[in-house]
Amino acid sequence: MKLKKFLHYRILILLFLILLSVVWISPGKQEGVMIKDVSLNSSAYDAGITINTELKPKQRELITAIDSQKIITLEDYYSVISKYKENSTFRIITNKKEYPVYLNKELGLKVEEPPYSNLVEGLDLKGGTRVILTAEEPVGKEQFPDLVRILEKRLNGFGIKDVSVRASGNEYIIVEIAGASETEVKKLVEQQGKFEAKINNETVFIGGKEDIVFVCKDDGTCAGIRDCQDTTQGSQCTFEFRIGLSDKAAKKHASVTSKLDVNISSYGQEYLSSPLELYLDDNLMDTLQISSSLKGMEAKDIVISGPGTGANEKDAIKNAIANMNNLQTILITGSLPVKLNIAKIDPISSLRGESLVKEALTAGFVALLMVALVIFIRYRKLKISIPMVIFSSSEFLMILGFFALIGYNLDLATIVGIIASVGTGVDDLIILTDEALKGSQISSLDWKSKIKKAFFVIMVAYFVVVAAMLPLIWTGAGLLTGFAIATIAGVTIGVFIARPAYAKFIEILLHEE
Amino acid sequence: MDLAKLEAFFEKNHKKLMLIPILLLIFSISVPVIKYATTGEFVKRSVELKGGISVTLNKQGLDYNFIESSLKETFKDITIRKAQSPISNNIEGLEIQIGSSSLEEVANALDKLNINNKVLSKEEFTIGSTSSKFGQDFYSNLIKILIISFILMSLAVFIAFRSFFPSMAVISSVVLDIAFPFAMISLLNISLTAGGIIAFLLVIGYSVDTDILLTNSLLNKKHLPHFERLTASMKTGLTMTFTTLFAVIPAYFVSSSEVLQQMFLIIAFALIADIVSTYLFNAPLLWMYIKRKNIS
Repeated sequence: MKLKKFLHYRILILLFLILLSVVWISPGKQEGVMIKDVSLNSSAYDAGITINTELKPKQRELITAIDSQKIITLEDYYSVISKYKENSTFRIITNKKEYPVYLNKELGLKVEEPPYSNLVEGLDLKGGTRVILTAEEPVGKEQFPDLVRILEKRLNGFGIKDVSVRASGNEYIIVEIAGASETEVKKLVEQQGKFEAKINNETVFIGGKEDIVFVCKDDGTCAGIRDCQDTTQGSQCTFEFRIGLSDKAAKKHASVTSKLDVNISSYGQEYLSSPLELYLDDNLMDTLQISSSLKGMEAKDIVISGPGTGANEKDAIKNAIANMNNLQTILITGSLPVKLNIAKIDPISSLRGESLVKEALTAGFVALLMVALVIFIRYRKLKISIPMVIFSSSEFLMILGFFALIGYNLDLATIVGIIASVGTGVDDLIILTDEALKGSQISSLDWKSKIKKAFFVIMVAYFVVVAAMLPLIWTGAGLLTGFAIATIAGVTIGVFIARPAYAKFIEILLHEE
Repeated sequence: MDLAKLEAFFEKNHKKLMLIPILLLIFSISVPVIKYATTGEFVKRSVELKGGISVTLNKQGLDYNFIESSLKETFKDITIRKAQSPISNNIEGLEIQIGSSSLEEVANALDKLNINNKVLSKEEFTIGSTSSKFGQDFYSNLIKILIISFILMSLAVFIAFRSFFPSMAVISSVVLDIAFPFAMISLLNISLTAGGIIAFLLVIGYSVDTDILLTNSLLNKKHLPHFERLTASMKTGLTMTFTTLFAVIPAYFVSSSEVLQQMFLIIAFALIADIVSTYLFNAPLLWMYIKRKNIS
């Protein structure tokens, strides 16, 4: 059998995509510890360490050494870092940069083991708590996205980085927090939230209609991006929007600011000695400088400004607008517009999740072996059954590669979906093999039309599966979307890449004889 | 039996053969109806679909029998399942579902048995709750998805064949493929989970392929005589069904989780129903169709 014969473009595309999938997944151990979180206003933060959660797992920043001591495992990291006392200085060396750290306050770094591949673990694998919330009173369609956004902002404000908040229809909100226990999550979400603006530790105004009579939103004349500048790390843009304060709040502003001094910044601008600090649930969200001209004034018109940063100007503008929207929403509603109730709370044990995924994979593997056996019994040829198993497994690899590429979370539902779609692949391969076996006795022109007819069946079956899975994505049941996406992605990869390649392969193989 | 005899048998008896799927359908519809008449629901539902408390213990070596008997004394509406694969002696843990009770009550009862997060880690012991409204909403949402999915599947079949009778034959055989596993779940008193409903969605999506194969073969393979079209597609179709069946059954035996086991079980029952519905219902129906329409 000459290998050269098999170099048909369909088979080459398949081989190329298998290779790409391996690159996308890029399995392999890494040395060092991954930076998981940096607290605001910590020593690490001052040193310029940031995390970019949009990067693929394997591109994240890893700490590889501290001063001259190599960091390979988590134990290395903890034993080295514990030696540094307050007010010491050291260098943190990562696989990307070097950071000089001055330990004048808490270090504020959270680290974890580096990821083994680019596949993103979902909550089922990481463990944590999934809670589904519903508003105590009905919330309008327009208000609902606001509710979701404020909740997300609040949870992020608590310093929880690994949190996902999403709407499920117009009634439920799904919140997933990795690593948190059920009691912690309950405490977090059951509070309604409060917004306070403080100057010099005195509350000047709080969120809601009583103190804030007007917030400029979606009006270019009093809200928008004002100015962008290039910085060493990219670009920074400033947003501004106007708010109107009530008489009471304006008087309070006057009395608080009259006691403050005027400072002159290095750029020559004059600011009051204490900034305006915005707190959400007692967590500092934003600090705004107050222009000296407002000292002692009963300011009813206040301009709120804040930054947004990004790798380039476009990103910086996008982030600045997002920050502005969040702030506006908080100022308008003051807190969550309604009280949230827990409709469902499920602590997820990563132990259980992992064993479930292992079970699903074992079941999938056993199923594949059985498929190979049945196919062998039916066709009595290793030459046919071995390639069938290999082509089926290639689908599995390519689906994983696709998920690594788009950074989709792998959960139990997703994995079951992948296995199901690979399962249908086998059915299609049987149809193709039967047609090919019958076709090997006839001329190659007839052969083409036969395979075409076989693909009619495969395509109809494909569209039926997609049609059957679509409602699961549309209706936003939320919890099971991963299953539908995995199935659709899986059968699509199978029908358009692996199965046509197999059709060509089996044609060449049987025509050899 | 040679092919000619088989053809003569089929020609003579194909209408009688259709009685088997019809009887199976009657059985599949009566089981949940009788269940409804006696218990008020067509099928038992897990707490995620009706509301309640669910507890998981993921630790080997606990005194499971003691825990089980004490909890059964305290709570009436309780289902306790040992997480264990049918072929293994190892109990991985417990899956406890309590229908009508509050999180606090259950937590207190477990506390008395020394099951709490002081003794067990949050990986080993979890307790969650689902409000009955959310459970109901989730359930009706999933049922809605199943119905829409069925309609879309029917549309796809109609578009593919552009012919009323053969399309209806395919779609009606899916009805049995769904009804039979549902009846079995109801009969075996298994609590239906969201995963189980997803398995039904898979059945809608995947059970039509043998029917499409059959229809396509009978209507379009002009170079073969009629009966050979039927047997050729049957050979391929049965290989497909049996490969999946032989893949799903061992998968059932190696899994310990309720959800996975249930999914494999539903798919296995659907495949069995599919053999009956495709070759004893769809095939005779199409046979009559091509004879009456004189399709060459």
